[in-house]
Amino acid sequence: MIELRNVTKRYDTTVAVDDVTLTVPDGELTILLGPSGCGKTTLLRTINRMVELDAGEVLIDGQSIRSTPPEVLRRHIGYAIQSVGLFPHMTVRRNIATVPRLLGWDAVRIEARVTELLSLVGLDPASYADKRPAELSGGEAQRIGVARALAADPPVLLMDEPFGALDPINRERLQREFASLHRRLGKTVVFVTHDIEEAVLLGDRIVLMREGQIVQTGSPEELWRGPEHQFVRDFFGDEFGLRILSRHRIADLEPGATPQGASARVHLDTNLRDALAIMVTESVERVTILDGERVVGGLSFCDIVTQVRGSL
Amino acid sequence: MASSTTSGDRPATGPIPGAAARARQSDVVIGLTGAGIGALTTVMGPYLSFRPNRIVDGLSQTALEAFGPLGWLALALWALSGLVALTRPRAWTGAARAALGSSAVLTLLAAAGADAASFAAAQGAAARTSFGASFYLALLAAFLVSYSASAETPGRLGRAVIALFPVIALVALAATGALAELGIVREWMLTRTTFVRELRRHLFYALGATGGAIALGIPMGVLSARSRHAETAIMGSLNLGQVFPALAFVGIMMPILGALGDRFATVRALGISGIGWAPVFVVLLVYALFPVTRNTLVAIRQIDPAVLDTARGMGMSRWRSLFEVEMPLAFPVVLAGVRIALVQSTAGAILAAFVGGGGLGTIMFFGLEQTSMDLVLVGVLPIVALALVFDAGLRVVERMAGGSEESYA
Amino acid sequence: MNAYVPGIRRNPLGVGLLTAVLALWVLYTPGVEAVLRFVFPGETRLIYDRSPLTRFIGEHLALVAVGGVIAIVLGTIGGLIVVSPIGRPFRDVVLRLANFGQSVPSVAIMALAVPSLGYGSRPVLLALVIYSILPVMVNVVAGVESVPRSVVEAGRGMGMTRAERLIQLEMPLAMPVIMTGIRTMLVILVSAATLGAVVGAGGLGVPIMSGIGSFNNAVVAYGAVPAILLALIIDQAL
Ligand SMILES: Nc1ncnc2c1ncn2[C@@H]1O[C@H](COP(=O)(O)OP(=O)(O)OP(=O)(O)O)[C@@H](O)[C@H]1O
Ligand SMILES: [Mg+2]
Repeated sequence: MIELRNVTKRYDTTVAVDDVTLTVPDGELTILLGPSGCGKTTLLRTINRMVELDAGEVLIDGQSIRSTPPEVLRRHIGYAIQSVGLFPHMTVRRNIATVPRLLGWDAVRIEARVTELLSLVGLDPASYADKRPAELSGGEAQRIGVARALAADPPVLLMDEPFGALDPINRERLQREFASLHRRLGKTVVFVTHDIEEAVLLGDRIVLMREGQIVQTGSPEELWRGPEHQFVRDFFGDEFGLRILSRHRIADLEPGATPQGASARVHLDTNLRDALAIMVTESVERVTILDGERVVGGLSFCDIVTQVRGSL
Repeated sequence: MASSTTSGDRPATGPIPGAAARARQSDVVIGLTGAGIGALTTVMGPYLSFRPNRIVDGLSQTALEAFGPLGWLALALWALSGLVALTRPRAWTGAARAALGSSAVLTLLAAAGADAASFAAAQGAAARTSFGASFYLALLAAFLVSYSASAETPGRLGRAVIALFPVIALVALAATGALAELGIVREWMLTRTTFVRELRRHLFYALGATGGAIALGIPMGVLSARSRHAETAIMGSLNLGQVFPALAFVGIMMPILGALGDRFATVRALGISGIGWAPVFVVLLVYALFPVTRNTLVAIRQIDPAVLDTARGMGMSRWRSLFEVEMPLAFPVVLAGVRIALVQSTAGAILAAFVGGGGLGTIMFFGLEQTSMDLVLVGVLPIVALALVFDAGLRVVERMAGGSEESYA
Repeated sequence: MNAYVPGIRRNPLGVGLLTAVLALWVLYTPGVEAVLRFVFPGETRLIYDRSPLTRFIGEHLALVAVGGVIAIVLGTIGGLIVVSPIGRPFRDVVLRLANFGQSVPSVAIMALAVPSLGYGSRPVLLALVIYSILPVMVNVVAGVESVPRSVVEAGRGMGMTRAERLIQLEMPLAMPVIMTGIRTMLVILVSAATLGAVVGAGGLGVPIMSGIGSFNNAVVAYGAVPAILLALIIDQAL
């Protein structure tokens, strides 16, 4: 668990982070979201002491981060940023092995770990380990960046717009891969973005910031259903509801009766936003739900909207 | 340092349209220019001059006048190299015309050696046969031909042959003793012991100043990259030093170092005093510091900030990041600075002769006093040759280290 | 070419101050003697008394000015030829030769020119010109090539001829780089001209070398100080 207590950071005249108090639960993916310049990056970097605080304190598992020398602290916190920052003079293998080397792992263990991580991020170890960063595409480089951050199996991962520089198709693919990776590994992740879509898709919790302060914290659904501030509503905009729908699958809802007459067919793991899109495209008001080949029920447009309002 | 990792699309690798045609045109034009100059130098201008002794004016001749049929052969070789330049380039054409051009020069060199021998036989040991302007222009012509030939040769092996063939042929020619009676060779033979001593001293200045610049300049560059205050102080004073005229700078250093030597026994124990090697060495060192320090500074500054940020973010200490990330990335550019410093110091060490500090400049001064241009050349040519060898050698290392050809030349 | 652009340039106060000191040094000999007597109390002979310093600095300035002007004119023409379509093929080889020129000491050119040109200022001028043409050319090439292609293309799109583009766009935009080259060249010339004394061209090298020859540091300083001041003034003023 990471606890930030009354954290403040000033630069000359600007207050980049203004008296922020926040708890990041273990195993969750917490998103720091907000407009450009609101202090997300600064707040993130206080956690691994890349930014030293003017006031307040940061605790990891109840221990102040000031009790550990910054270098040692950072070796146990994964760090990945938008511009990746792979070392251009080192091979992919050596890049990934950076923290293990700093920690003094033996060569056999490092090699095994590199292979494991490359497979984990979906790259073939045999063909990628000896490449140089200049020979990688943007998406590949970003995957290596994530692998490098995970190298020493740190319990905490800090990520600053890791997918921000990618084209939309690559970005979405990496987001989905990362979401499933996170579900499997159960790391505590603090993830900075200013992309609402990304935040809603990935976040277990969203911390919405403005001008160095937290406006509201909660799951995307909580923010959607109970915005405490006009700013929250304005920031997420009218599409917020649709985005929330994309977080959930047909399987998350109570199926109704199998529709008679005109309907479209969807699967249990279709997300709700896609389900609505299919209805619109096919000009029908109901869908038939399939589990594999088997029909398990149906839902109407109104069912979906009402259920989402009430239960999610 | 391309931060190409951040961009999704890879850099285009194919040649820019039209660039190949332009390069080809350039090869032909330069190859023809070289062949043309070579041909002209054979028929015009002083190629050789014969003097009964060092003092009196002698007889100057063109290559055709001096060598007869061999002169015509050289002319034909030049013409052939021009013709080959016009043909469609194949794997061997570059090497062929480079060999033709070099052979033209070597033919005339051998002929000159023979003429010198017969002239010496007739006139005695004081006789001097020296090269004139046309000979030096012919060297330029051979360079142009080889340069363009090298550019059109795809393989590394072919280019190595083009570069090394004239050197090896020249050494072979010299080994046969065919050149022994040429003025410059005779002067070199006469001053051989002095030559070796002064060459050693010259290398001491050049390598010493560069070594000092590496030892001091790299830390100073790192420091400048870290702090703006340090940068202002360090680069400011090095800039100032660059501006000081060399001879005046040495002149000013003499009393200063003299006073230091008088005042401090440790300084004196190092052999530092107002006369001798120390003033020149210090001046060369100050000059050499500039390129090394500047390139170190620039190289570190241009490293992608994200790279340094992640190095720190993963828990590298400052030193670790310096040695494992910053220095390796800066290396090619720093090396370019070292190369500039070394070339500059090699040429600059001629200054030592002005203050009795030795070095190859001393031999140049002997030549000037005795109005023997051959002796002047015995001093000057090795300086130029050393500088070129250092330059070429370090460029090869730079390229292997991944630097770009033109980094901070 | 150099990514490192040094800090403050064109310091009128500094230039004025340096010029005043230089003028005093050259014109007010008793003062100079007093200074030298203070710094070098051991020396009996303090200045080079066979000719006034005005003559040496005059010769020095003349060498630098004549050599510099010739080099600027020829170098600029050469550089423009090399970046023009006609001279383009020679671009790389010229840059290579310019690099080679670095490795030939300027005094060597002077010494080698003596037999054909005799002693005096002519071999020195030749050396100064040869030595500085190539740096000027290199900077003209670098300057013109530093002009963004989009600017030149825009000019072309608006119907400018090649000459108009050169005069109205490329040259003005290349000027800072070219001026840097000229400043560097002039500073180098001031330095090289001190060596001209070796072949009898006069200049501030005469007192310096006389002082060195007689192990008299006062006389060395008598010539070295104005040479340094001159170089600093040129460096700061341009
Ligand atoms: N090193 C620094 N020096 C001075 N000001 C800084 C520094 N770092 C950040 N700031 C200022 O602090 C504020 C917050 O910056 P921060 O980088 O944390 O914003 P951000 O939310 O990450 O923005 P973005 O989405 O654009 O990355 C900004 O006003 C910024 O200008
Ligand atoms: Mg940010």
